[in-house]
Amino acid sequence: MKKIKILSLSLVVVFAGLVVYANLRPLSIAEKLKTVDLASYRLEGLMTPAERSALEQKISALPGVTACSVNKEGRVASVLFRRKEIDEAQLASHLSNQGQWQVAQKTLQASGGCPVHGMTASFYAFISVLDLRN
Amino acid sequence: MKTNRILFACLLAIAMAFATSCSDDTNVTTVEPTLYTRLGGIDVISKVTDKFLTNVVADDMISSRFEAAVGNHYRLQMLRNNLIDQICAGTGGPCQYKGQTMLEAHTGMKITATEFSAMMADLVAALDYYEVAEREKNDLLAILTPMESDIVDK
Repeated sequence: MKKIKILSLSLVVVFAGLVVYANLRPLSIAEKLKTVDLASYRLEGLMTPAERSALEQKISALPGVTACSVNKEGRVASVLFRRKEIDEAQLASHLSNQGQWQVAQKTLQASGGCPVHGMTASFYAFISVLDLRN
Repeated sequence: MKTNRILFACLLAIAMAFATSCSDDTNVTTVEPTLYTRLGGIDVISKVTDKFLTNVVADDMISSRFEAAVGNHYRLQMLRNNLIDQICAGTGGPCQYKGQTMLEAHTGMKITATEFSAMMADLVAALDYYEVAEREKNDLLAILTPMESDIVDK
């Protein structure tokens, strides 16, 4: 029973330490920026280069969108956005341009790829959840 | 005669003072602003980084390399923060890059020279989108391009 109490107390102390660390650690300039999410969409329908450029400009100008790119073929659009201001469904609606193009959200790969992985990313995710400044 | 000497001395003093002030002017050195400042600071760097990220995800040739990282909220923040910090620090800005070295981060990924070129083209497209001046663009690329040796074929 005593061991359980000591173990519980230790866990509480460690957790409290992590909460303190998460909220007091100095944030870099980049970390102070508002967080973003990325959504990728498949587009169907003919699109001229001018229409592609106009669509990029239109989506980029939406409140909550920080960047939008449509590939040269006009088949894929990717959007960086702030979830508190706009969501994926609203983005899809804007991308369709009142039904001019058919839009379907792509499911992005869940693992592998770019070198932001392993324990570093998991620890960062955990600390970010505890950080009340976000 | 004495008045003439005094007048000559005064003129000489004025001439010397003038000459000294002129020579001081030629010694004024202008401090060249850092590339970070010339680019437009963190505001432009973060905009270019965001555009670069959407460019690579829309780029069929290399999107698979980035999808998993950008599809996860926390991995995306890490990648974005690392990119911004790396450009900011590399251009003389008040940031510190905390990520892995390029060699550590890319070892085992077998990234080809073609993929690296496609990624650089996406970066150039992002810089062009925000109309970054030619000189600043070339200065930034001169900092980033040498990283190829630590990224390609590792």
